[in-house]
Amino acid sequence: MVPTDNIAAPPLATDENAEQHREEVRRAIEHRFRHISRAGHISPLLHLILRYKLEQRP
Amino acid sequence: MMPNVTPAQVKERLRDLPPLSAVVTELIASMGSDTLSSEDLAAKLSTDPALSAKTLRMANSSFYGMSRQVESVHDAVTVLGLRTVRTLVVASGITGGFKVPATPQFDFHAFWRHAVGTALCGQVLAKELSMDSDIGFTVGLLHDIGQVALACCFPDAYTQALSYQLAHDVLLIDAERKVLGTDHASIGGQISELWRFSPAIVEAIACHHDPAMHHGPGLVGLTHMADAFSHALGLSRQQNESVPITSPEIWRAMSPGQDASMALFATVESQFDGVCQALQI
Repeated sequence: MVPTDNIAAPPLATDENAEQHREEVRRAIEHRFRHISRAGHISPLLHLILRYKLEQRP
Repeated sequence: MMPNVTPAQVKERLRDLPPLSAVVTELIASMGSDTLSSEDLAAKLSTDPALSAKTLRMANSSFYGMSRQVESVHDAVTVLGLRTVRTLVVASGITGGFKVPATPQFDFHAFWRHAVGTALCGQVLAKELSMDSDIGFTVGLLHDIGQVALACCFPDAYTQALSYQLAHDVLLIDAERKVLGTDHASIGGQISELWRFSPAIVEAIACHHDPAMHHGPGLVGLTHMADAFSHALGLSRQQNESVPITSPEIWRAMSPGQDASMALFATVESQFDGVCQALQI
């Protein structure tokens, strides 16, 4: 009989990985908008793309 | 001393750039009107066998998901439609029309990835705004052509501009203006005039970073927005990619709204890899 109780990653580790990935995605997007942010502008496109990348996907 | 590129040098060296294929230039001129027939398209393509072959390869790529191989332009038109084939020919001709510049810091593949991303954003945004989507796609593909021209015509000076950009982490256009005294939008406009594109396309390329108030919701604004959307999506995959500042006036006039923007992002991302593969980028 094949032991199965340690095949799936524990839920907490999976959640942490997902959260870490989301944070990396957020940082990458904010990095692309760095010049706009440095100029003191508020970009509606930044909010749209953050929503798309962070909220629309699992 | 920082090199400046004089207008006389620009004029001389741009003329030495190999022009786009005559077929491509004629097809771009035909966009926006209904005068082109499939017979015209086939006849024009027959004068450029290399372009014809590349177009058929693209048409037969998995991106178009056709149930059978097409072996002629006429077949491709029957299956895909005249407008799609025309856009295929134009895209093939544009992306295949330049050799890799001798400017080591110029990432040629990243350039074309961003151009394809902007083309797709331009196409989808144009449909949303009831503008010509073929022109939106084509201008998106061409909008930064001045960068390739600068890299080809002034490799040493452009290397210095790219180094400046990296060292000071500024927008590329600002680095170009600082080091060269000109920029890729202005150069792109000049090439477009040399290649006899329509005034609307010339203006869209020349002004896509600095749309003035009078440009309003037209092709300049569309190109400006498509460029920003493409950078926002990070499609070039360059580490130092940056979204340029978007004109608030153009945004107010042309932004598609939240739900339409989400749909645009999803459509562009779903098509991007397939189009890059079809264009061998």
